[in-house]
Amino acid sequence: MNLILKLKNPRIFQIIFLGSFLIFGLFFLEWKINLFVVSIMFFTVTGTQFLAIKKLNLPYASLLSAIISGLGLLLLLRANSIKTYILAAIITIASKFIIKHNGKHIFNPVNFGIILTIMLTGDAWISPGQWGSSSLYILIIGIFSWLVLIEVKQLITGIVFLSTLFILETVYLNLYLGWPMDFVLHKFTSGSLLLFSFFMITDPRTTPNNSTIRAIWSSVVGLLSFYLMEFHYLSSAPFWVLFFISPLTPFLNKINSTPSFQWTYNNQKSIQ
Amino acid sequence: MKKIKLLVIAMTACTISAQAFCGFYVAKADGKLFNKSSQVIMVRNSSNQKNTITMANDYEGDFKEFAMVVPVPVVLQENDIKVVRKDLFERFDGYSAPRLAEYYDQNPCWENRVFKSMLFNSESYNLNDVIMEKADKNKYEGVTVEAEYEIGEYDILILSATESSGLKNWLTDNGYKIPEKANEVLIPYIKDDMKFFLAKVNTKRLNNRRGKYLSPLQISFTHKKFMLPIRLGMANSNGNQDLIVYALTQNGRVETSNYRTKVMPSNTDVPLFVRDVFGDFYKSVFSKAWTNNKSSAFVEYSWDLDGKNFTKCDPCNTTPPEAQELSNVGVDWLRTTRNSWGANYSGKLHFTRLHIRYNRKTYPQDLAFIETKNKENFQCRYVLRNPAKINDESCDKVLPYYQKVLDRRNIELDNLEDITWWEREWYSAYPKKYENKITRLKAQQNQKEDENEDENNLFPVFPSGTIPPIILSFLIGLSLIGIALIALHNKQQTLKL
Repeated sequence: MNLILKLKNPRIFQIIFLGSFLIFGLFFLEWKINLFVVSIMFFTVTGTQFLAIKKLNLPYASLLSAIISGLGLLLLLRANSIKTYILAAIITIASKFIIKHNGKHIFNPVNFGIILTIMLTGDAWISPGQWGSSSLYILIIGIFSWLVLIEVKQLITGIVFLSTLFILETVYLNLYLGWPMDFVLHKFTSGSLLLFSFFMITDPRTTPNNSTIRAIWSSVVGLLSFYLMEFHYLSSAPFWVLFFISPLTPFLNKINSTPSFQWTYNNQKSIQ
Repeated sequence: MKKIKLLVIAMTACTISAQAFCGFYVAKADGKLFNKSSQVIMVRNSSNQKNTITMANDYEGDFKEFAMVVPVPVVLQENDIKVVRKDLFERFDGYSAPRLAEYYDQNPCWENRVFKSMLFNSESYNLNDVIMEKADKNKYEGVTVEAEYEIGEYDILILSATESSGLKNWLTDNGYKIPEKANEVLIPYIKDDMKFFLAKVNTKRLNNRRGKYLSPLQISFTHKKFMLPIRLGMANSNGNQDLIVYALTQNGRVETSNYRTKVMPSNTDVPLFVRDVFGDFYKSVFSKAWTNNKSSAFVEYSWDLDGKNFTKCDPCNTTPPEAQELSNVGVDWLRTTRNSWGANYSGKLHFTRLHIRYNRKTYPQDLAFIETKNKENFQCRYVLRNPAKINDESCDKVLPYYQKVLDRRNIELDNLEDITWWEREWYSAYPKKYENKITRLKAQQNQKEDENEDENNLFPVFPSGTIPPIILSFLIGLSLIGIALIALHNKQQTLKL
């Protein structure tokens, strides 16, 4: 009984999923990162989180969310120098405690860490070509188990985002330009895009509180990503869109008076 | 003592052939045409989005029959189109081609010295037939000739179109015989407002140039798109086509953003007989890598060529590209200076060589590229280790040395089986030679040998065999952290309750 309760903590599941994606990437996809980078990253995220725990008197279990952040960075961000990874880790964790509004994060920490590191250092990048379509099956299996394990309600943001993007891409590429359907589907074989949809944009602490506004908000992210990807050839568009649209969330929450999202273990399901 | 031998092996069967670009060849008559592998030099200046694309051309049929169609995003002006010297491709290919490095063992009874030499070779690729089909005659609805130029031996036309049927008919009636299936790609290109760059050869001007071959064509344009249109070329053929892209950028390695980018197996010790069949060997390596990852682009070379980076390859097949050559292919951001780092330019530059084998099934989209900040140097390098010639076998280090060579030869055969389609059983004579030597020496010495000498690799490669214990310790570490955290978490919850 106790074991089941323990496993019910979705953050443990999330660590297992993201961790297996990482192990897969490290040993089967020959990613540019190695175990040294992995250990430095874990050390920095947990270290920074530990300082925050001591300073702000937070529960030790919040270390789990720091590990999830570390995994998120390792899966998405690439850099030449180890210093860049350390900087990204510190920015990511620090942003959770510094950039807040009414107890909610303004930015998704991993997204904030990635984009700020890319902008500040000139040494970091997102590598959309690191997954490949053969690894897609593993990602899909992971994501489906994820869907089964947690309430779908939480993932609605990601599903709305992905469906908006899919509809727009199909209308534009297939119906308007006339490319065959495999051309359109190939767009969605990107590992980074799937991770973004199911583990980043779903973050309840950075999305608007009201469910209707949240759905509209995520379709706007989808629309803008579509525009930037198709007309400005920016392959990592969703990450940039989320970064620049995040400061709007406090305003959207003001319009609507639904009580603010309460932080509990059971609804913390995104890359934090 | 130290001797450096430089061996250059000329292999007629494996000379590089500069080949045609990813558009399609079309002919007036149903002549025999081959759409071989293509080579493209792509220069991208990320700060002003200027692209310069140089397309090699080794068309071997009657030059009168030559015709080429390439989709481009903008209408090109006359000074955006050039012909360049063919040898640029040989230079770039020679510099970045997969290489074979050769080392010589020191006689174990002498002091530690290494003889090093290298040799190099390039690759040649399969041919693919082009199937030509007839097109219907009709009106040229929506087709506009945007510009007409005479560049080098070529007559160039830039077309824009609003109707694919009109374009198709125009091309057919003007001697560009296009395949029936081309329609499915012409429609999306037209709707995406792409223009069509058409090139034919004017034989009069060719005669003036006394040319025996066609010059590579170079086009420049400023556009956000960093891509190569490969789909049009696929309309011709169901088979695989090879494309080598030499990408020159400012910041780092170029990757494909819509396909996986994978590095080729490299730094592997291979048997000595590979020296004589290096071309076939590399073909097999590539074929195996490609079979396991059919929709991947393969990195064959990636090097930071910053003017200040002294090491521009290791070992070098040829001298690295120089300022004038770089300028000829469109690298316009370097300053020509003499400096103390062995380059005659200064400025940021990264050289990436990608090898892509594409077909309609595994490559549904055109190639889109992304310039990363990845400055890691990579070269496709295979290593030969020559055993020492030992005349006097009386020294007691000889037997362990023979044992070491035997073990190494077995590893080399394992590597060979691992990265190529060749099987180790075919080459059992290769380690056998040293097995025999050992048996003979043992019999001669008629005494117990000690086999405990440590292997001392002078040029260590990183064997993949070291990974599993690391994974294990990593996993154990991770699970320990997990258990600790769960325990902490439980404690917290208990406290709350």
